[in-house]
Amino acid sequence: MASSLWYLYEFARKKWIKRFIDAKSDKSSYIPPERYRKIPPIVKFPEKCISCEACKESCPAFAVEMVYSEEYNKNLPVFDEGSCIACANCVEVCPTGVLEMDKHRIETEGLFFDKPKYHNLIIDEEVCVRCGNCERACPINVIERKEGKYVINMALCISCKECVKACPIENAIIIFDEKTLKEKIDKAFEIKNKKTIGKLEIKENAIEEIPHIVNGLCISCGICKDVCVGEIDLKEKKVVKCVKCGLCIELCPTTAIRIYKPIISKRKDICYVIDEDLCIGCRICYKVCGAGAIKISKETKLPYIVPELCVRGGACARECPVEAIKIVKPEEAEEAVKVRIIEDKIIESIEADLILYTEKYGKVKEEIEKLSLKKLKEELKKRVYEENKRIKEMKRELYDKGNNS
Amino acid sequence: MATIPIGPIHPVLKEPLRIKLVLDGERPVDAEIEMGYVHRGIEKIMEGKHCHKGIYLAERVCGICSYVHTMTFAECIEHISKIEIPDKAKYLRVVTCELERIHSHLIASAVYNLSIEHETLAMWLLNVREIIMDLMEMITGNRVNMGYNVIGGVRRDINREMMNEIYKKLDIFEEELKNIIEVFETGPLIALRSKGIGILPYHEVMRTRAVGPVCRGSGLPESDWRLRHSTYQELKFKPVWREEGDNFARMMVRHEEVIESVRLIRKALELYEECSGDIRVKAEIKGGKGEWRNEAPRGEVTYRMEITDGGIIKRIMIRTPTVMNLEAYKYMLKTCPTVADAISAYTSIDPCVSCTERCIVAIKDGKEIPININLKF
Ligand code: SF4
Ligand code: SF4
Repeated sequence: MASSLWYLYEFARKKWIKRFIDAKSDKSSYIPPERYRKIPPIVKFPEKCISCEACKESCPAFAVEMVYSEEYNKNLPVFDEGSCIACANCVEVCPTGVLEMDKHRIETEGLFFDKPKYHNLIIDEEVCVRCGNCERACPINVIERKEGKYVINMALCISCKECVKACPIENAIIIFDEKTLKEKIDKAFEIKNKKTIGKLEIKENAIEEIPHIVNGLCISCGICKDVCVGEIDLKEKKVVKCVKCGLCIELCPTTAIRIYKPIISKRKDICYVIDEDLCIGCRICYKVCGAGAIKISKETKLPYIVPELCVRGGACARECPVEAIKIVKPEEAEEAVKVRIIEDKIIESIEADLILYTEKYGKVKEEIEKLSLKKLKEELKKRVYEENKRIKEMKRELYDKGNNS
Repeated sequence: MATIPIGPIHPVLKEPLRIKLVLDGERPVDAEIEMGYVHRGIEKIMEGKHCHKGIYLAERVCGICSYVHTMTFAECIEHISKIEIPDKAKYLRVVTCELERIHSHLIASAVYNLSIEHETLAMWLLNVREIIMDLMEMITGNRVNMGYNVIGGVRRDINREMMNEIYKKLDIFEEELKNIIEVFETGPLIALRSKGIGILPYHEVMRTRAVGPVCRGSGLPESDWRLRHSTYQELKFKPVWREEGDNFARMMVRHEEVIESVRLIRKALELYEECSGDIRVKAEIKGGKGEWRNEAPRGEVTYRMEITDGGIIKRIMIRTPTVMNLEAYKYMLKTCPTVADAISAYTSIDPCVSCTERCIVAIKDGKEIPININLKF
């Protein structure tokens, strides 16, 4: 009863009655939304696409697939409508502005973004020979030469892997993806747990040397620190205490912590050779070669390339001002420089011999000098002694004469 | 003593969760809460991912308060790598965050009203919520999972037209809401079912570590993490709280917070108009560890994470408010005279189960056991 009275009172309010009387239907309160309605994104300029797969790698929903298109003769992204979550990541990462989602690209033009990706690329500064091939191969120019080494700008890289294709050395560009990283994080977590409850079995001295950390490769994920039984200082990038168990080397996702890594060339089918008739002896190639494969001939004073050391980077051929460096088959190259190498070896050995001789000669001479000096002193002493003796005798004689007379 | 199971699927429990009520006659005396029906292991999936992808996963931790999760995620990373975001982005974040709080509180209120069988009010509340949803769609482009936040700012700017639209709609919204709150406040039936029911006294809040409106309904205004947020400090934010600690107080805290949020949005938009420049900066992410808290509609959310240089997530831990509030629920049961009241007390804490259940893994005898399945509270 009380509540029905209350409701009566409630509905009899003046304000309400007024509203009830002037009620009219409003224009729809719903404005048709313009933004983010065009999902999935559209490929606006397919002719500009460079098939770098950045969109595919940035998509958190795995909604992008690269499919070969007959019409444009290249791979173009195809979007799965059901999976797209309208995040516009792909629109933002596309380096050539091929994609568009409603007006997102136009609205955010001029801003520059971090790129989410599945594969991350880093240049290994210890293995890199600084040939610069990657820099020229990069379609969006994010590889730079800084303080003598090449660095990929991780924030802008779209991981199209053009640089990996262009790099002449195996493993000089390290690729790590989410999957391996996840696996390694899992493993490290397990080991860390075991370590804390004291159940970790470690094989000491499993590796020969104390490993070192390569600064440019380290992403400071801290996995090595988690598993390390000794001590690792990640700020200074140094191994402080080590029992040589090798766990860190096994688990590092970027192989930044290591003992030694050999330089292995990818190409074996060609080699560079210097044409001595054209060479002007400017030695630019000698300076440019990071692998140390160019030697200066002792006889002609002209440079030549040692085929075993050459990594086929091609920096020398590019830099040569008179185009004296040619690409040939490796056998030919070996043949061509055989004489130089042998000559060099002979001259080198002769030089070494000579140096040895001069050294020996010097030593002998010194000894002789020392010896003679010694002899001289002895002789002098003897002479002085004899002279003294003679003077004494003479004095005595004089004395005797004086007494007699 | 009898036990009756409620859930996991129940028309008024918004998400799957099982409550075993222990009854003495018709009076509930204790409850056993079982979770684990929507366990998804989001934290584990995030490990090893780039944080620009992780932010979308963070958004999917919770369906209703998705925005505050991305905001906390982004702010945590910005805090770790010391990124200064533009002022425009700060205010836009506040606007969106408050819009989301409004919509979340309105849902909570609607569900509460349903649980006390006041369907009219529930319908009205859902109806006014539509205005807020439209605004959210206009600003961010999406209605629920907005994808608006990025590390270093927000994704899209707003313009004059949109701002006028927001002001206009907020006016309409406020008027309608005031009416609804009046009905809620003065309705005798509502008072009958809410006042003095499910009381959580001040000292028991301390024992259960309840957060959010549950805590503020019991007289603890300092539990609001917005007080410690620099942008909110600029907006001169004042928390809302009540002393009674019953269902009614909790709902009224929510209602008043909605009004406060509307005020905050207006203020933030005013300040937004004064600034210029970009809405986003380039994020150069540096590695490290860090922690960040924000006030989600249900209470504080904590993100603790470890990232590497370049922004790959190594480890992440998310703490959401509902676990602690569910613990407080047991104390509320003491003042619930019937089973129906037990349910309305449960909805009054606005539980969000899907944001609670993530991954905790223990290793026992070399086997991994996810321990928040069948974890008894
Ligand atoms: S918008 Fe986001 S989800 Fe959709 S295709 Fe692009 S990256 Fe994938
Ligand atoms: S990111 Fe752009 S250019 Fe690269 S594959 Fe995708 S659409 Fe083509």
